[in-house]
Amino acid sequence: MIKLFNLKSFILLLFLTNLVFGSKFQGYFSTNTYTFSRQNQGDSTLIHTRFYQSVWLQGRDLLIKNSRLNVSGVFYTDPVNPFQNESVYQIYNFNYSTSWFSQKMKVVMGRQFQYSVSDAGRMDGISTNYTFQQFQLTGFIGSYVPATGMTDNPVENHFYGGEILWKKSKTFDVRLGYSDKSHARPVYRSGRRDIEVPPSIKQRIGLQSRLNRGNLTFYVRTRHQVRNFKLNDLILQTVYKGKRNQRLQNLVLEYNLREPRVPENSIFSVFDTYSSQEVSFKGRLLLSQQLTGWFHIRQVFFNNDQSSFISLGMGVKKYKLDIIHQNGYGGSSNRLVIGTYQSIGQLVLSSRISLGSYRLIEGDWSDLSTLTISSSYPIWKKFEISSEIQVLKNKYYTNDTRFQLGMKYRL
Amino acid sequence: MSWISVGLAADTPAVIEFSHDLHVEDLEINCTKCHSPKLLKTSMSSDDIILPTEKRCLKCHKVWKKDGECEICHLESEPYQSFPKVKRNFIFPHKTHLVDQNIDCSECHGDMVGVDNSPAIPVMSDCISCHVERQASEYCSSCHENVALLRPADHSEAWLIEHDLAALSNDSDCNICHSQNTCDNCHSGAVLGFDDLPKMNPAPGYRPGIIVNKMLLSRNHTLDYVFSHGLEASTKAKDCRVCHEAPEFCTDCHQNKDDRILNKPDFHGGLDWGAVKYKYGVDFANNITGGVHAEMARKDIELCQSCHDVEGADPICVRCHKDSDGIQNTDPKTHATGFMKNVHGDWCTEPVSMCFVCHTPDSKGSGFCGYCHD
Repeated sequence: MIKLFNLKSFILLLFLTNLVFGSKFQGYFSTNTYTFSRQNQGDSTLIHTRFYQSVWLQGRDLLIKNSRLNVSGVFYTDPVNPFQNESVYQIYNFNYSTSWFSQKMKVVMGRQFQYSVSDAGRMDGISTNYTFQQFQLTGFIGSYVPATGMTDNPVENHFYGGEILWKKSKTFDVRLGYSDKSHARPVYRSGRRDIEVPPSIKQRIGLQSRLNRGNLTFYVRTRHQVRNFKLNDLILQTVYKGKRNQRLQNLVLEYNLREPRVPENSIFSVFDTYSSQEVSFKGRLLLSQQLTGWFHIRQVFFNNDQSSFISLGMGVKKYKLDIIHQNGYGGSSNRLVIGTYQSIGQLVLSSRISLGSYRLIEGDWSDLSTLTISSSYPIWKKFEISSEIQVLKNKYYTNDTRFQLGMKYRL
Repeated sequence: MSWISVGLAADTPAVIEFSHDLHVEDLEINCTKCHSPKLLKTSMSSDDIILPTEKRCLKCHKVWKKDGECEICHLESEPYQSFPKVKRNFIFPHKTHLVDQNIDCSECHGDMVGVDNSPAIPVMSDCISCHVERQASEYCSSCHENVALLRPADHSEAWLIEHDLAALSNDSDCNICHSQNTCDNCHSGAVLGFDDLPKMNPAPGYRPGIIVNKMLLSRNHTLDYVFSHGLEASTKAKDCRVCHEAPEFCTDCHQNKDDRILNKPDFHGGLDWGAVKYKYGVDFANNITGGVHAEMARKDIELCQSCHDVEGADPICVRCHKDSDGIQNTDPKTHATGFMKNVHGDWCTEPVSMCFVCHTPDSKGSGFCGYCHD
């Protein structure tokens, strides 16, 4: 198994870079411990404990001016139930970037994320962008890193593409991109036959445009598979943004057409598949100087079915209230959530109580309530501690208490 | 000529009528003629009032006071008050910028021509671009007294859903507060957030849009999410695949272990589940067959995938949807109408093609290959 990174070399590199360039770094290290329960069998539950460490560092002007070294990663362990399909450590960023020509050209090398209009993902590779006049060109190529963080086939995991942005004015721009992403799958073993499943390939083009007219902004984004120019998804969005202190703060109306994401080489690709469509309407209003209200209504239309999401809420000073209703073919739920926070000097306390019920099958409603209290306190400017306690009550977890303790050190 | 009303902040009432156009542009008066250079060069607090005193104004406008024409400048009636003290919640030492860094007033405040009812405090993006250029500190806490109180008004709970298009827009200024690390916190599928976001508690008196819990654990999902995640998936309230590698991630729980079936959906099974042999769920009039399972698959085939298509070729479908006699169109329908004309898969050109999960490769003119190849 080929690993582009392993934990020991990662820590060693961190140590060395910090030793050499220590004064040029900013960022933090944090560590968290938390517990939670999971139903085992019948009424019995198991208590799990997990440890979670994270690091984020940014080094500036290392070796050459206008350069950055970006490092972020996590390391987490579950001593009781080791992870099976997820790595116990993940390195999200480990890249070196530099720019030239008054930052008009930028190059990033190493592990990095790409957020393109056609696709997004983590890769080990190189990306560059160049800005001239009204245009910005972006290109990237590398080995795709799946969300699990484990790459045992960097050759068949690839991710490359490009993008052009035309910013005609401050109120109108168009973005057009292409990407090709391949995700190698494990060898498939079955009683019928063993086959080496070809990688999941996703070749897409994406187009996004934005037009601003006063308080209104119109967005359109569409993504197509390159093969057969098949539509992946389409978003049409209109956003109204009110001015400061205006009663109507914002309104968003959105239409989203989604085709099911079935890998091209999946057995599911041979069946008739049906798209889903979503209409969403949400907004936020200043009801008075102190009182803000918000709402969010979503309706998803499937073939011969619908699902809905309705949320109403309001906030006044340090308190907020949310009422949420969900209903889909997977079940229904109703929730009432009340939250508040208090600051005592640098100590911040917040709490939330959620009272609700849900059903997975017709008529089988169950209660689910939680009480959460959390706190954070900076012991000194560079060191902060935080904690959280959550009590959960449910038919499976009648008296379940969960705990988290965290510390963070800033460079 | 534009006259402006001078207050101490945009939302405090103006007390003096004043025109920068007249003084700066027409009369070409230097800033420090009115704004005390001594005060400017020693001021270490943003709360300091560096507006001219009446004494300084009267150096030029003595006649107006002598003639009792106070209302030319004063908007209020007598007795006239001094400028009220204000409390600004950011750190700005004029001394550091003017004396230590030798920055000219106009670099931050512009030429002040046509400034409208404002103390012309620079916007944050201008501060940051200058700090970057001069390699000054870019820490939020360098300027903001309490970073816990920072949060834009539009960053409500709905912002989690709204932010994607805005983030890709070219007019976004996310990077003022966020690094790419912020994006990666959620989009990389991390179990816990890093808490790299500016502190999540809104300020007292700040636009009370939302109180966002500063809970590390519930950043991405609440701890009770195991109970509602299926519901959110079915209402499409969340796009699980943004972070999780479906379907492998789902099968951590939703798979058979030790011959036990865990979390098998309640809608599986029953007489109407398959409905090829049975008549339940079969709508012959509309050529819809297959019972509940077909209906579910048509509705949301991604749901089926979350358990069955674990590695791209789960043979569960093949148990029924197979071409056992090699004669076209005699078996339970699988392929969409016009499938041959609109192939989406890797087709049969590769030996590992998905076609051969169901079909047996034959020579030209016979069996599966004989459908098309003579």
